[in-house]
Amino acid sequence: MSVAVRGIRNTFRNKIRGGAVVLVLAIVIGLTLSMLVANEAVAARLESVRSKLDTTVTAAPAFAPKGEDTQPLTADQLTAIRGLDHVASATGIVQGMLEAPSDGEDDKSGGPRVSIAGPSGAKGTTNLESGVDAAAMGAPAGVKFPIMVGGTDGTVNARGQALDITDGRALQASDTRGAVISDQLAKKNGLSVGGTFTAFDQTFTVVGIAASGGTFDDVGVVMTAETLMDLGDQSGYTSIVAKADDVANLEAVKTKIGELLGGAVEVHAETETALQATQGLETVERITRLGFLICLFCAAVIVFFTLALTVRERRKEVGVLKAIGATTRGIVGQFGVEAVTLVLAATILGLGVAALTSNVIADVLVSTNTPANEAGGKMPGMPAGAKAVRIAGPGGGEPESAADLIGEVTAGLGWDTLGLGAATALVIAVLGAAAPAWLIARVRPAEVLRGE
Amino acid sequence: MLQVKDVVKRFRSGGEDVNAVDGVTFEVPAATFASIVGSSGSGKSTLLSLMGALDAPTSGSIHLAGTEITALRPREQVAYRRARIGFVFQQYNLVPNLTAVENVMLPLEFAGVKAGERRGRATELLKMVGLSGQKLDRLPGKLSGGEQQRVSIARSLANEPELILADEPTGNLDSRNGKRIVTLLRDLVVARGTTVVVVTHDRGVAAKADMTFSMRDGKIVHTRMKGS
Repeated sequence: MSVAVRGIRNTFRNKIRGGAVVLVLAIVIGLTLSMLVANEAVAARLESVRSKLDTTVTAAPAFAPKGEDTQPLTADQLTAIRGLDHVASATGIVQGMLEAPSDGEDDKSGGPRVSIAGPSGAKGTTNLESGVDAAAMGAPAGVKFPIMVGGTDGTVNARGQALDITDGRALQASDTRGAVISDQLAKKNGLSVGGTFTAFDQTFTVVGIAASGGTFDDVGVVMTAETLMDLGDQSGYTSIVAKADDVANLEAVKTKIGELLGGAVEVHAETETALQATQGLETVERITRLGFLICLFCAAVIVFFTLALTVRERRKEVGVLKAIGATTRGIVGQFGVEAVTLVLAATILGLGVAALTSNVIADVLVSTNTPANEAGGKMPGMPAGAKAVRIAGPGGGEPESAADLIGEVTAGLGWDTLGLGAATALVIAVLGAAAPAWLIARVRPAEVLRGE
Repeated sequence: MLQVKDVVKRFRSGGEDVNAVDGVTFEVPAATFASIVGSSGSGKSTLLSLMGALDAPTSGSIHLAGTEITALRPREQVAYRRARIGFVFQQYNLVPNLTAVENVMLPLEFAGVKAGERRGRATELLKMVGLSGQKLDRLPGKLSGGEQQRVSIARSLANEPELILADEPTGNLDSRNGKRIVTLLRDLVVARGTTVVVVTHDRGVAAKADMTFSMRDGKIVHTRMKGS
């Protein structure tokens, strides 16, 4: 009979006690695995939320007193922002509006017109018709909307949001008379890549078509910032859009840009959303990590005391085994097998406990540690445990809640978990068997047998 | 030959030094059945532990067939016990959840005997001490005291030791079973040439021995050779 077989048989030498220990251990190991699984699920969701969060910081000149012009942002300021710590990128943006000529051949429909708002920005005429559906916006029939034009580095639109190029390519610095237009505009005006249109009395070639991004058309026309400055008679940037390298650094980047540009510039970032969305999950991640360590410790303590008690009870047997030629290492190995058997049996049952409790634990912890709905209830269609606070979304887009970003945290048991369970069991067995092994090494057969 | 020379074993007890074994010297020739008798606390079991390399003497030396066992390092002592000594205990000290044959297989496993050979050899040994059939696969708790002691003797013989040390082997047995065990040990000396040293209170057991050493207060106070 091998050490392994003897160890397994010894584990259940006393069936009632062995069974009771396995049961208690199974609950603790189950909770250990639940914490581990919940922690992994929350960590994955946190990573996902962080990647979705907008790390944009927008700097734009503050409104000037009546009668004074606002001062545009300069290329030097853009360079300085790019040099700040935790700034991943910064883009200078020139904003403007295009509209059909007020009279003449290009004014095809002749209907009422929405005038260009705002005191600054490039303004020009175009032969394009807006792709915005006036009826969908609730505007009177025949109303013509102006077309937003953005001068950027070609990767973002006028709001600093990344362009989703669906056809053609991104704009390059050499494309002085090239443009990316929205798919809404392309459809409305029958344009495709390679097609041409006029703006600022110049002919532009469509190099790429981008997804519109919203009912209002977030893209419009995008050309290089230099081109728009030149044609729109602008001396600088309307705004500078910077990206922080991590959500955690968003507030710091916002502060530094504010300090750099001074009071005449307004700096804006959705730090509140980022904090609300991540802080709750970070708390849950910490709780589950701590819970995992505590449960792991408890399981190791149970194994430790069970084996220590067993070694004490079987001290004489250990002494006899040593007397008849067993090595200390061999006996420790046998008790090690007993520890592993005990823990593996408990782990198998514990996986069942984990399957039942991991989702519940994750759900309860997430729901109690993430932002509550202002109205105190759930949003329609929102998953269990997720609550919402409606706040302005990044870049002035649609309102987005922290709870929407968090979504549902699902903790599932898979092969990864089984592997982790086995590894956890091994760690518990090794930790729990360490001291009994020490006790075994100290058993002196002469002392044990003298007591006969 | 077993040679014990000027062996002293001193313990610290109640703040005082106690000489459990106090300058003992004797020799036991090979293939001899020897007994050590004495009252409780006379030091006979301590002396047995020293001869079995279960404990180290404070001073003096013990040799078995030319090997000074008192000079062995702990790891060598384990190998020495495994290969050259067999122990028989008053309480049998069988592993309770192993069957009779499995208990006898244990020293064979420790000695590295192949798994396939162990059962056959253990069965032979049990047969030699008078156990066979279904009793081989019974747990110790299902065997009588005499049967358990036979299993214990079979276990002590597993690795064909030169020396068997038996501590009160008949202490828990009735007189009939006690006599059987003594006869069995006596036969080992004759049949296998094994040296057997028995520690006992029982004068009847001692009477069967070739040599008897009487101990009192840690000293050998009398030595009797059979026939003398």
